[in-house]
Amino acid sequence: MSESLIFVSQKMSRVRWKPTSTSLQKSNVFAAGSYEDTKNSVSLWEITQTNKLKNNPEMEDIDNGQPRKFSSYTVKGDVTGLDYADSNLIVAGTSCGDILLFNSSESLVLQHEWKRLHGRGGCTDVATSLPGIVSVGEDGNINLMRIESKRPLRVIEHGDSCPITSVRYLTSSEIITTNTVGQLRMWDTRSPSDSPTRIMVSSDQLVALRSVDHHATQGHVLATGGADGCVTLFDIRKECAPVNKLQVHDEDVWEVRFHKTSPSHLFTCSQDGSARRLDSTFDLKVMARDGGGTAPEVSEVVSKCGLSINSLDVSGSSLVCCNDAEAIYVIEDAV
Amino acid sequence: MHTPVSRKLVNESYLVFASMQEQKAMQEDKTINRAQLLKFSRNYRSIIRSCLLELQNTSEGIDADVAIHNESQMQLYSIMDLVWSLCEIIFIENLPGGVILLRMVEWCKWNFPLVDDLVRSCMSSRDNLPYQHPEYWNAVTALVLQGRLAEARDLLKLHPEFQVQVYDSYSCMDELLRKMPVFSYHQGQSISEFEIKWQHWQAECVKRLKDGDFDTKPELKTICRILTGDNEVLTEVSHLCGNWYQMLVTYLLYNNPTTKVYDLYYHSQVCIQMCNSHSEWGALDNILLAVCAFDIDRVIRECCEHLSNWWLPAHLSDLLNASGLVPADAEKNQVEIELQEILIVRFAESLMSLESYWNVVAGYLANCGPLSQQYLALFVQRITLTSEKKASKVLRLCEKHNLNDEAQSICRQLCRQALREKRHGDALSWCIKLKDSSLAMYIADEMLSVYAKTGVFPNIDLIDYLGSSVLVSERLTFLGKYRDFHKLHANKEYKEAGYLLLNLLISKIAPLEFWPSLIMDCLLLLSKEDLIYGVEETTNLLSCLNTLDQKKKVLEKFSETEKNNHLKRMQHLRVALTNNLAKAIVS
Repeated sequence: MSESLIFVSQKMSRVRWKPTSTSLQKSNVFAAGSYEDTKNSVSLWEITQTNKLKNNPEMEDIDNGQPRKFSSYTVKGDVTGLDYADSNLIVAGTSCGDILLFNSSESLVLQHEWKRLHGRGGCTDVATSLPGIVSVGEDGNINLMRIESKRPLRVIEHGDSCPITSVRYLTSSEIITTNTVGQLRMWDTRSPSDSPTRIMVSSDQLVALRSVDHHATQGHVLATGGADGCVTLFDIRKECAPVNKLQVHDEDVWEVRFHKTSPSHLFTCSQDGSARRLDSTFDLKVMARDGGGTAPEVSEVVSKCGLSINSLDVSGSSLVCCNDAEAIYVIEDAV
Repeated sequence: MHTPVSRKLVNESYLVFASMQEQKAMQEDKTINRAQLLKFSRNYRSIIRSCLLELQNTSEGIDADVAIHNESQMQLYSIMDLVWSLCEIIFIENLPGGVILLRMVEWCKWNFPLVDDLVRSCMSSRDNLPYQHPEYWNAVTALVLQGRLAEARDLLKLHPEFQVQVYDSYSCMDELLRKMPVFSYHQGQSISEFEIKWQHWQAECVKRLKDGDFDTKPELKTICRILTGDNEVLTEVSHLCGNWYQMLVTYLLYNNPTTKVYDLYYHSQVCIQMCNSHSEWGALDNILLAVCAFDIDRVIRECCEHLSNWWLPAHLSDLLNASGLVPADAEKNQVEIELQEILIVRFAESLMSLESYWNVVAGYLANCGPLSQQYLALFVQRITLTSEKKASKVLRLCEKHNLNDEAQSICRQLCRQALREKRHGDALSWCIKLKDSSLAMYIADEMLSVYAKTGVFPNIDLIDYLGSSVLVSERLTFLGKYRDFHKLHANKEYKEAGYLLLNLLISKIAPLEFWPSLIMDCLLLLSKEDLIYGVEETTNLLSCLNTLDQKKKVLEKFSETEKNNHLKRMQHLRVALTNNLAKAIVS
């Protein structure tokens, strides 16, 4: 693994790789959103390649492989949610409750803004599944929008009594959310009722769940990251959904990401300053049967760097993550 | 400390500081060994250097104010770099006598590029050949002053009058320059051996000067006088000598090359005397003199007085204290520890104005000294909680450092805020974390009153999944169980519902205000076809009814019509219970 680290003078809350058209292509552009700065922004970064620097041979050794910012857009409030809808569209959510849609083909151009969709505390996460966009917030509201719509198509008000911490699309009409009292909920966007189709809890104690992701190929396998450092695997086909609970970190697991093309890898990052990778087939039948026997292998991708790692994303064999020391790490050959 | 470049400095150096604390924590006496310390010192220096480079690179295309600010920042960083590099040589590297000078020659070479500029202008001028350049002799002399004799010889060779075969003043000078002994510590040469060689060489220089070998060429004569350690010549070439610390290197090279660290102060005084005429005495001079004096206290004090930010004194003192150079004397040690604590706290304070730095400030305060917990507690109370995520991070910080009171007060603050905004679910989750039963009781009461008014439970999605957290408060337990009762009733599990209701009444966890509602629910159950309550249960219910009759307080809150209704219902219930008892006895 080769690691390159740059200090960017802003604390980043989210980083996302730009999706590539084929899985063989390596992504070298990522988007990042900052928070807790006097002026926050969404920015686009490019990993500079060797051939681009032929005209500046002195800087070649220093700059090779280093990310470089090439576009940025100032937003009001903190950037709390960020997602690529496709390779040219970015959706960002802010702590003021605004959801912004950017066109990011060359540089960031604001295409549309949905203002004040969330009240107090603002938006906490956004997810996209073209043409749908969903945003969740601390007020417990869920907003469903489409790319072309000027107003949200549907607002599930007070869908949750507690702040919702993250959201993902499971299929184009189903979403999953997590909240601060440890509940994992499934919602059907086509159903007229404002209640979730299912509520699952990871433990008897009210431990907040911070993030959720679903397996790329086995759609019934979900992983959540909790405030106690545990990653819980859920099998939604089962009545009693939580299947396996693994103590991966010492403190809150801020983000869990399944690898899109090699789904036997699950990446996690945590408040304790480390980012880890779990390798397993995630065949839940086997895991439930054997108990501790087929525990996933945990390997460290970024070792404790002193301050919390807030977000990570993985594409191909590259991993990008950002931490509270205003630094961005890009790791090659993380898989 | 808020510009992008200084943010890099603060964050990167914080990471070094944090790993240093970790290292210290692993050792019992809180010191770090020399090799590690040197690594940390070099880390810090490379951070300063990279910030300086970045400032230099961004000097184009910015407006005037920013440019001025950048200039002053660059100046500050260069001073910091200079001071730190000298401190590293003197305090941390712990070099034996003789090697100090070699390192100082290097230090001079890297930090004072005037000589390199001279040489470069000589070599790169298009119109003249190097030797014709007006600065040629200045360049050669300056190289000799800095002790870079090989380069001086190369430059000298470019002069046409230098002919290898002929033995004249040029080749004489070349020979002298070539033969100057350099202390080769790593080859195992001993000090006394070197000293003898060196004195021999210098005697040779003196002899050749006296013999008049260089009388034909005054510039070469000047150079030879420098080599013989003649101090008066230094005033003649003072424009090339630079500051007293650069002159110190020259002075030591040609007067006392085997100097030890402790003698530096004496020699620097001599140089200062010689240099007195030119430049004014500035902050940097004070600091460097203190370094030469091997007086760590004074160095830190001067840095605090003269530099515009606390970064250097805080980090430098932390590094030096970890080296174990501080005397083991307990009293003095205490003073050192307190001083260091104050330095780190002052530095952390200077960062507090930028909200984004709060993680870093907390990290510094947690490691400042014996009072770190108090400082951290005070700071935590000042952090503004803008979102739930930030609140969780702050709580995690409190947990890590055992700041239980602060954690409790944060949870309480958030709970109250949620209550004010009528977000009962959120409030409940905070007060469960707090394990505060009175707040939980208040919230449960609010929820029950909502139910009483509307007939619908609020926040079902939370209440149903509270798990063992319902035990935080009795009222909350009642709420949970009452909701369970409703669920059972909805599922037509009347018998279980009935028993639950009975338990709620008997165990007395139900608030008195709710008994009438519970009684009503009883009536509903009693009107079902199947017998739900047996003899014992019915008797219990009758006794509950009697208790309720006796408690007149319940009736006080009711209006006239409500009172009448209530009494009628009680009557109905008594009848229904008696009937039930009869049925139960018979079956």
